[in-house]
Amino acid sequence: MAWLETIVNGLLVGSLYALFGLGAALTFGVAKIVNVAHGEFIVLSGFIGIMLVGIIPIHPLLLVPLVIVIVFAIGFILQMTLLNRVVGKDPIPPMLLTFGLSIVLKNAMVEVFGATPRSINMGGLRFKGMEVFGMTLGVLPVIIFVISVSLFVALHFFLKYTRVGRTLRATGDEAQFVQLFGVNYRRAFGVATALALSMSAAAGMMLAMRSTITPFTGGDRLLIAFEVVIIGGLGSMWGALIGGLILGVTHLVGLRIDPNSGLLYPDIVFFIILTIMPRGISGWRQ
Amino acid sequence: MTDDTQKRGLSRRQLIQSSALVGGSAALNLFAPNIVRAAETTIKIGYITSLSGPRATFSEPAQYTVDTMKALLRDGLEIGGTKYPVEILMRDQQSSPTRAGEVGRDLILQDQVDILLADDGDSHFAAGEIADQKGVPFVSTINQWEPFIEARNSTPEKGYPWSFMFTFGATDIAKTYVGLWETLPTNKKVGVLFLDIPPGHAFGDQQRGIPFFLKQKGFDVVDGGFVRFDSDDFSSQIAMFKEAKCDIIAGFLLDPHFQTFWGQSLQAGLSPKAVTFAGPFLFPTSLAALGDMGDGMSGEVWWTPDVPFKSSLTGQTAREVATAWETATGAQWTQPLGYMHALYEVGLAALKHAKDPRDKEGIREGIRQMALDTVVGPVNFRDSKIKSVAVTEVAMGQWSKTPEGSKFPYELGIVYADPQIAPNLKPNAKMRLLGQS
Repeated sequence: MAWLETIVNGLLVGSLYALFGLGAALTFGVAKIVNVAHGEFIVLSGFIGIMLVGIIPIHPLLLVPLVIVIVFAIGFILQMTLLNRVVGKDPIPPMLLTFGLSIVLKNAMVEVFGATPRSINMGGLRFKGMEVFGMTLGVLPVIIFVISVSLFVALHFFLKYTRVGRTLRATGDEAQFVQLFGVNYRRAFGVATALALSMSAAAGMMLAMRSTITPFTGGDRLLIAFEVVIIGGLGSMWGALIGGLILGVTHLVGLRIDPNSGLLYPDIVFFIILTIMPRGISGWRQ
Repeated sequence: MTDDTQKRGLSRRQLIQSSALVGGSAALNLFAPNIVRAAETTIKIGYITSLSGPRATFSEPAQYTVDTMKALLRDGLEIGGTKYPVEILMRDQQSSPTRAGEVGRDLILQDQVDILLADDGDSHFAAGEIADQKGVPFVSTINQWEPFIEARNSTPEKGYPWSFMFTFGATDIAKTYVGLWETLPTNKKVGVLFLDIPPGHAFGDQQRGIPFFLKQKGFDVVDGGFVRFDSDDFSSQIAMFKEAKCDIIAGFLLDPHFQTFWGQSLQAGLSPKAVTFAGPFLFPTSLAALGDMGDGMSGEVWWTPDVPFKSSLTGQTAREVATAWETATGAQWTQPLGYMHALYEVGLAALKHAKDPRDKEGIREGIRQMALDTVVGPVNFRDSKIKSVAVTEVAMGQWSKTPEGSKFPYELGIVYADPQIAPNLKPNAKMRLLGQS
């Protein structure tokens, strides 16, 4: 039973990892940009959340949509004003740009928020547990799991059934070609990055609720995001969810086996999957 | 510089000539300040502390202490029958060992301080090295003395020529922890976890840290391992502790980590009898952040207002020092307050021992011969078995919720003191098990 509990807890934390990866998968899938500043945006969203919690006296969970909207705007402006200038055949310039951006963001956050670890105060919710089929699970991690999976489902329907969603998918397939159908692919990139960053915003907020963040937290999250994307298959949404859950479970099971292992076991699993399925889980199916 | 000269089209010969000139004048300058210094009579005290960064909570009383000392030294300090004005140069090391080295170097080389003081635990690496090279007396505190001795490959027999530290020992702390747990009615199963940073490794050391003394005394240790700084989830460790039915949960975490850990522990229904950590329970603000859940948490104590000591500078008791701070700032006392006060007691006593403020040897002798009763207890370098170190006392404390309407939500009581390690600290409260009133 204790092992089952560890696995379930792994799924719960894995849903957050999946959300880290979702944003990265989306930017890569549509705009073909490897966003090195992804981790910093996760942390920045967390800090925006911490700030808003101090100003607006409603439950922090209700602030998640607001932060998503704010970061959506930031993402759109970022892509339209900065990243669109460098997108093209060569993947290196956008990568260098986001690399620079990550350094600037990190130092700006140290300047503004300081280096002290911070978190969103969830009041009594932080201490609540509940019995599910004989397992004792935290209420907050379960809520976070539900929100994460809902975001995946919502994004799925958005991409599949709305006009904008179809445009995004088409742009992801053939950015130059869609122009023949009157699509402004640069704006589509803008929406894609905005969506991607708003997914990271949700992830960042929930990370700050669950544990603590510092301006330096981003680097580790970027690593997790990349691993999730690569395990799942580049640019695949559902692949990202499965990748995240796999990483979460291996992480916690690994810690049960050897508490000193840190991220060793997830890294090993990542390596194995990369070796036998170089195109990731979703790529393997094709 | 090279680019500049090329732009202006200087020939190589001109460049060499001008650099020789610059170099020459710099060499001349080297002598000039010394002549000025001889006539100058202001005593300069360099003071390194961590006003910003993750360690800033420690230095909350730093500015206050400096202001208090400045007021005290308004009329100067008497050395060898003459009164000299005193200047305190406070520098922020931003919670970074590198930065500590830089400000230490500037204080020694540029400001040419007569004595250097530090309460940050980092400065003794780089600043201590420069102090030893340049022959400037350097006293630091609020650390453990073992890393101080080992950091620059010294031994307890050798010590350092100019660096000194008065503080408690890691081994003493570990022994005191285990001593406290021995007094409690538990199943002797202890779940431990330590943060993966240097103090965490010191506490978690298998050879002389908490796990070692636990095993020596027949406790079962359930090892939660070294926790990465960026841990989001502790459920694996919590599951281990739960499965082993640990009555005691202990180790070293910082308060944000502890809050994540403890939140998840309560979610998972972990209910130990004692929770004893180094780190997260040092400051009353961290306890307040836990809400009601902070009641009964325990950790090491190096100073409280209840210790039976008096300041050698002002004659105030520990309680009076704490009350003065609380009145001036409205904030609750913290443990570093006492040690910061004592740091100046030690520094000023050393200065007074010298013939004149420029007599560095005399100041050093003042430290070596020191057996001073300070507000944190006896600081005895003279009879210490460890060279360059004066070991101070450490005991165990437990936080209790204060009655409604009190000034502060929590207060700290001393619940255990090892008579060998802390002969002067007497328990003034009884350790309560968690969930017990």
